[in-house]
Amino acid sequence: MHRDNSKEPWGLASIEPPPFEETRLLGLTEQSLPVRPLRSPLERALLLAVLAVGLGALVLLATSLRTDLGKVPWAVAYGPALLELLAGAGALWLAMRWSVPGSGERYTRSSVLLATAMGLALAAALAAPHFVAGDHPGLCVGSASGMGLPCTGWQFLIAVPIFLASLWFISRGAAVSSVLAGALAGLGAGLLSDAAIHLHCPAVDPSHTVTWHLGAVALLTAAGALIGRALPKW
Amino acid sequence: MQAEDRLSEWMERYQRGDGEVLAELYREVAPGILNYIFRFVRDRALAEDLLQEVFLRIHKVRHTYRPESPARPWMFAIARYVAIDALRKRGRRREVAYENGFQETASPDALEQTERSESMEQVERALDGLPGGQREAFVLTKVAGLSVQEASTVLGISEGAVKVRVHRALGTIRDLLRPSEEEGNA
Repeated sequence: MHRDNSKEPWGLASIEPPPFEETRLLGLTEQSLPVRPLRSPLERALLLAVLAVGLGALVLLATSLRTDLGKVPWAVAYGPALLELLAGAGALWLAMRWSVPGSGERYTRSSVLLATAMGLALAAALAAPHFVAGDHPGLCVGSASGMGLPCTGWQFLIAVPIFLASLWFISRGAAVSSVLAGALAGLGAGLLSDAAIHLHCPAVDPSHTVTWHLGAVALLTAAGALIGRALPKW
Repeated sequence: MQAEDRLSEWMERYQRGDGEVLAELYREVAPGILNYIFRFVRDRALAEDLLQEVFLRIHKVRHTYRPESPARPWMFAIARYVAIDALRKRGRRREVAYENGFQETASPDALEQTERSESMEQVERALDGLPGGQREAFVLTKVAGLSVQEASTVLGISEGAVKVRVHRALGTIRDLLRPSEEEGNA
């Protein structure tokens, strides 16, 4: 059953397109090679999250878990990392949705920003008791100075492969807003990497967390937006 | 088989390399897309060029169509992107060209045809007086024939928001047409 496009609701006339045979589309019928449909946004985001968990585990094996994890309740010790993991995977899911026409736009910019802000606020609220209660020996205790560089270094080591894979996925799609998709990819990669580093870094100084951990997330988000802008238009 | 199921099946065949099905896709969807784009650009020749551009893009990004999802909103989302992109390039939103926009349908009565044409032009002008969001929701649902759910996917807003926009559009069109109707009655 064809939809009736000839009716004229509200007195509006319907204009008819030229016949297919008279368009330059005719040539496409002979150039149509088989293509493999993209995996769903959820599948692609989960793939990236699994990659992040693997890389995070490798980094934690190469370094160490923070020593104060056993001294605070489980939810306080692992809760923020888990939340960041979920928030990161969620951001990547949105990035993947935004890379397919008619799929991501419903999640408007404001709701994305609101969800991110709420996730970060929740993670901070859960982390706060840890900062207060913990016993914190370690590499980057209480300083926003250059001592935070190892944290950022490890974070980038985890984030960059996820980030690049996300951008590759986005470029395979047809993002209506590649800037937003890129920014979400950077945000997701940053949050996923910080989830792992949170289990390594025993720093108690909020300025350290803001500068070296969230700073890296912000940097990746900005880089994602910039690279997204440069992605070829489809 | 429902029209939507048939569209999805055609898209799947197209993804598998069956190029012949493009003609069927075109015949099914092109009228709606052309009418939608025309209300963006108000230039029939440009709208027809953009229609072909839409199908070239559909061909190029056909791998991004998810077989289990409805094809029509995916196609209209591409059309929306193409139309907005064209308007950005042109640097302005609309150009009024009612005079040569439509194919006149044959009418036995010339007077009736003239009246119909005038009425059509009034509605088109009223449509142009609408805010962008209302006009788009109205055109998608009332002219291009999309369901509220499909329009919500294309526009990236909730179904409730589409209904509100269409309702407001209808009210605004009525208001805009009322003075001329009253003049006609007087």
